[in-house]
Amino acid sequence: MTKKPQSKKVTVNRKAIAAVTLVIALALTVVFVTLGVTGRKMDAQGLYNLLPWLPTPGENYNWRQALVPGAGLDEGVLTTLKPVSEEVKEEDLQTAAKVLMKRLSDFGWSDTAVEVKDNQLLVTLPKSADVNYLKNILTAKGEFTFTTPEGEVFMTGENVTQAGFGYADQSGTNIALSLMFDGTGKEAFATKSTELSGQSISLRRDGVVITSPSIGEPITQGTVSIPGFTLDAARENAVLLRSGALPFALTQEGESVPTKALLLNDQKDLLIYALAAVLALIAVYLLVRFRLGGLVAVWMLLVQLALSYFFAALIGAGYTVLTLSAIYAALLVSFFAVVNLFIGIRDDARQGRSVRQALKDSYATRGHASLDVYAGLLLLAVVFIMMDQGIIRIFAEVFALGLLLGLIIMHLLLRLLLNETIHLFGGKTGLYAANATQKRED
Amino acid sequence: MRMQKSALNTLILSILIILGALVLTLVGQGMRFSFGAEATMQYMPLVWAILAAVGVSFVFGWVRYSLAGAITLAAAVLHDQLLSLALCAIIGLAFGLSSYLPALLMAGLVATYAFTIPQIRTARVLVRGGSSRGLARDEAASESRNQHRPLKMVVALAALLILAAFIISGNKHMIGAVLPLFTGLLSAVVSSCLITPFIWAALATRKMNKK
Repeated sequence: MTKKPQSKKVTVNRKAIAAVTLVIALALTVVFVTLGVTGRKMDAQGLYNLLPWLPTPGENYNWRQALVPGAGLDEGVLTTLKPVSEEVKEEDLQTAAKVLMKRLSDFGWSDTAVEVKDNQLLVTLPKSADVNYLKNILTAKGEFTFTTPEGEVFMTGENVTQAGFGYADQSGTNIALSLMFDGTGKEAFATKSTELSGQSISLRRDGVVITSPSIGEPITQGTVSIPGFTLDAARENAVLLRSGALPFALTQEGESVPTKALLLNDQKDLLIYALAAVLALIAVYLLVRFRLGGLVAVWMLLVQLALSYFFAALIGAGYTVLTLSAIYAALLVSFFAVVNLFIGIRDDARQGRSVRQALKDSYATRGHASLDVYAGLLLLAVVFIMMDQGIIRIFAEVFALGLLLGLIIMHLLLRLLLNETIHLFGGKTGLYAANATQKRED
Repeated sequence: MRMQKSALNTLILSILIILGALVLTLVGQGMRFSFGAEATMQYMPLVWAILAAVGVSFVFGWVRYSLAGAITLAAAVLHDQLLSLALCAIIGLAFGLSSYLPALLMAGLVATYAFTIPQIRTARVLVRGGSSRGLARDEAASESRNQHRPLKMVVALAALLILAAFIISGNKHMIGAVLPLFTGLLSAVVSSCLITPFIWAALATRKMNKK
């Protein structure tokens, strides 16, 4: 009779595994946050520099290259524009201010200002804006006309209801300006394109011909696509057509000068300090209420914040109230999830359950509520990204990233680290909830 | 469907504020912006975004909970968005709103979801009974609201602290810029405490009566 080989019993030191897991996670966090504050030169590795991305107070403003501030939260550039004509009405100046804001917004500059003062228009642009390039667009009257080869005007830019641009062919350099006309424009263009078939129609901007495409056949659909533009020219013309014409041409008065942030007090670092103070208060609350569990939660909230700023910088969101609101709104959802979870753990522990069981149960009950909140908001953010082309979309992109990070961190990473913490430090209820009945884990 | 009188009164008050803001705006007095931001304000995308939020919330509530949950969540979103916009139109007269208004109104959905969804979930559990005998709908709605009050208070306080950080570091225009976040939070607190639990209870009661 052969003796059955005895299987070797492997004893796992669960405490050691937990300690190693926590140390690795902590080290990764420290490295990531340090990189976020200092950045890293990576030229030797043949890579671009890793810019710092975490907003920090003080003289080191390198992070502002990654998270480019708008004129709202950082110094801007003030440009004064003056009407070319001498006599202008106040209402025309107000109209001009609206047209300029539309142009800036269409170019993607949301953190800007246009104000009317002393018969002049004061335009505040972010410091990073190419003022010389924008100056040409802002000062152009933007009056478009459609003319016959003889110069007869038969239609104006006011008849254009939509203007866009896109590739005209496979070359990638030939851009087409696409226009849609209103009823009057559709009729006028159909008549003239029938009349001038085989000849050309000119599109003029402020009296200067910018293109004269030949007419092969009558265009009666009310839409045209005019090829032959560069990307910059097509975009510029589309923006000017969409904004409408200024009541008068403008000219720059003097040089552009630096100006203080539109939304801040004189001390621009105060916002960074104030937000840090709020985070500190939240951390104190979590530590007092949920002790060791609260410490892990604070750690995870900081990880989410650092990652949110990183991805915001990566997608070029900029340092604006909009970006900060999206990041902190997602962080608030995570704070809600954490408090909701720990209240469940505390209540279960008070009823005599072990902390590990309470954690499991809380994720299964209250955790599902926070999962629903994450999922519902994420769904909404995705819908906004798909349906909106403006400011809501910009917000939704950063918000969706923050929510996704929060979902992963609070439902996977926090759970893992809390379990490891229980393994390492034990499941004494008092370690995880203030004013709870003391009970050791079995 | 019979709603509690206090919920109905709050709803009427909200509607009056919304109508008041609408009238103010129509006569050209509401919705004052700073820095010429009114030129960038497009109302149609905002209307579509609110409708999308209501629609998506309804579908989400239906899939995750029930028809009563769907209507409750959609009603909360609609109420909070409209009331928040109305309050912005009125309070904004003092500070001037920013071009961020439409996006930050959507940020208010965080408070709506965080305050409403846990209440719906808990109320459902309380009605079903769990370990004990199930409660009546009205009782479950009130009990659920009371259970989540501490959580709501803590989250609302954290949100207020974040808003305070913006306000103390900014000037008058900063208040106008973050105003939609404050009004969104306020609307969500009002609806989750005084309106939506009772909409859910009334809808669920109606369903039970039909059976």
